[in-house]
Amino acid sequence: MKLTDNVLRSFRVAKVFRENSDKINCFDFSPNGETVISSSDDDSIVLYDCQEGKPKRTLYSKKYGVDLIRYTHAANTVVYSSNKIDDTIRYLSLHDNKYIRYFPGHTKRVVALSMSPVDDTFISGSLDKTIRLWDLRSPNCQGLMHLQGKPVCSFDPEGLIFAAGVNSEMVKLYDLRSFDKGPFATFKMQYDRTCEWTGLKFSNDGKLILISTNGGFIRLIDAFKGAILHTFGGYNNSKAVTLEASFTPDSQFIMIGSEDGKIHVWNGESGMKVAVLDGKHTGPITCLQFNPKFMTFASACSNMAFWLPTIDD
Amino acid sequence: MEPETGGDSQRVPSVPWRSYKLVVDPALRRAPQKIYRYDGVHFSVPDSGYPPAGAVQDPRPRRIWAKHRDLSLPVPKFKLDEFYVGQIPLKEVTFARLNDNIREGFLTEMCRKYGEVEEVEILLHPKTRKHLGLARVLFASTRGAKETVKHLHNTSVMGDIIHAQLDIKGQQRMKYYELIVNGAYTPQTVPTGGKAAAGEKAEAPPQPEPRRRHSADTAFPPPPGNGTPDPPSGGGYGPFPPPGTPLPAPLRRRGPPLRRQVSRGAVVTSA
Repeated sequence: MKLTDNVLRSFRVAKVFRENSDKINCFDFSPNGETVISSSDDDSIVLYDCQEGKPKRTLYSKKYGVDLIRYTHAANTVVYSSNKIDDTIRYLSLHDNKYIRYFPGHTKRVVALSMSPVDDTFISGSLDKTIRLWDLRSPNCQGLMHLQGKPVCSFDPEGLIFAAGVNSEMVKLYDLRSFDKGPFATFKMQYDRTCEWTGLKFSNDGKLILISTNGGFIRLIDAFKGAILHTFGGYNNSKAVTLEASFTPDSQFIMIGSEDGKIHVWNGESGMKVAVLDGKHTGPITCLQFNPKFMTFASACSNMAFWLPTIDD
Repeated sequence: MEPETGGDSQRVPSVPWRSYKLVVDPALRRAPQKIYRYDGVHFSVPDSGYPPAGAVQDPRPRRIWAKHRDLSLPVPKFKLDEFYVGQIPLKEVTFARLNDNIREGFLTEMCRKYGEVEEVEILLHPKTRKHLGLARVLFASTRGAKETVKHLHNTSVMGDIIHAQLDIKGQQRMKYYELIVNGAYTPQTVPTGGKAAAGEKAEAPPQPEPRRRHSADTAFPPPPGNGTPDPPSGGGYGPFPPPGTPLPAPLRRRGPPLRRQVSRGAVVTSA
């Protein structure tokens, strides 16, 4: 089935899971789309089967808490940042629930974590105004950059470059081989004092960058030239919540949840709003991602919802 | 040598460098020591043998990206369990009063004309393994299921007028199953909703007759032909009966010939 306006409009919640007692702060689909792993402010890590749609396993990170969680390329390992005690990133084997490695270095909360789509490299951005590069195989920090403000960052889909959103006003692009020398491109945006940037993502086709904020709008920019293509708004976010915005896997649509449990969908080309879907979430939809390999997406407040289209092809 | 202290404890302007890259990590490959490169130019060891970073430029190739836009994704088949809150897709058909010679292969062939068939199951008696005349067919689409019911319900297959209906979560099928297994009805007489002909009931084999009359006196089954009666066993299945047969149905290729003839006789008398 292909993603079209009508297919997107037909999406309805098919499954609701109430495994968590507090906000789900992050989730990540495995690259094959078969599982999703979530982290919550209640210190639990819940693994779901996305094919049958059921919780598979729950692990706990009581001591350190768990904030941003990402699958690595191995099927059953993850890296995650903490929200208690320290700002070390941890590499966990889900198979035996044991830590494989620690990545210490950041001195304030980690606010961005992105795994290279091609190898064992990953990057982290922190409120300590640095971005660090790491390799899963080594505890040594592979790279460090001091920036002028809070960074959000992400790899591009080919793993050649990474983008850093700095101080909520500029996007800098770095070549992975020479990031220490400085960015090869810097796109300066109009600073908006009403909100902060909370995330940055590339579309799967590498052409677009989506900037999410804790305000009432998100921005779509050209990943090569930096031009602002669209600014999407009209959804509710009065309490400056960090709401995750996402692309659909075909790079054509942009989705975000809102504080009232509704999901807004736009066409990235035309900039038109395509759908507003009601997730009946009990709190703000802090996380929202489309499955990379299946026609389903997930949205989360303290509950996790899996969605399905309701039209036959 | 270790840049961590300088970099982390002080503010950006006071350190001699802004960024570093660890170009040699002994944890990743055999090397006597770490080698850091600062700001693309300086190295932590003199004469490192590594060239400084060249002019920075965009390494991304510009390609035609059409393949990403033309993506087709399969719809996952979520289990209809306690987490399920969506609409139940009507993809499941329950058959009743099937001739007991009808097996999975025959049924699949029969249904395939109307839509792609995903699963087929003939229900057997849990103890005697007798054919119950009941079957479950799961289609890939609701259209296939609807077309099948439209074309096959109340038609003659192998000499028997069969019953076919759309069945949410197999609830109706479970009722028929209970009614036959607990002996209240036979595969030929099981009341299938409004369509269960009263005449057929009257001609039902004599064996269950007294029981039914008795139960009618004690007023538990509603009059035949008026909806499906409640299971006399007093229920025992919740709102989410598992789809399919409660017991695994092993391959039963050859039933006892005598018994089969008896049941065929019953079919003839009731038809």
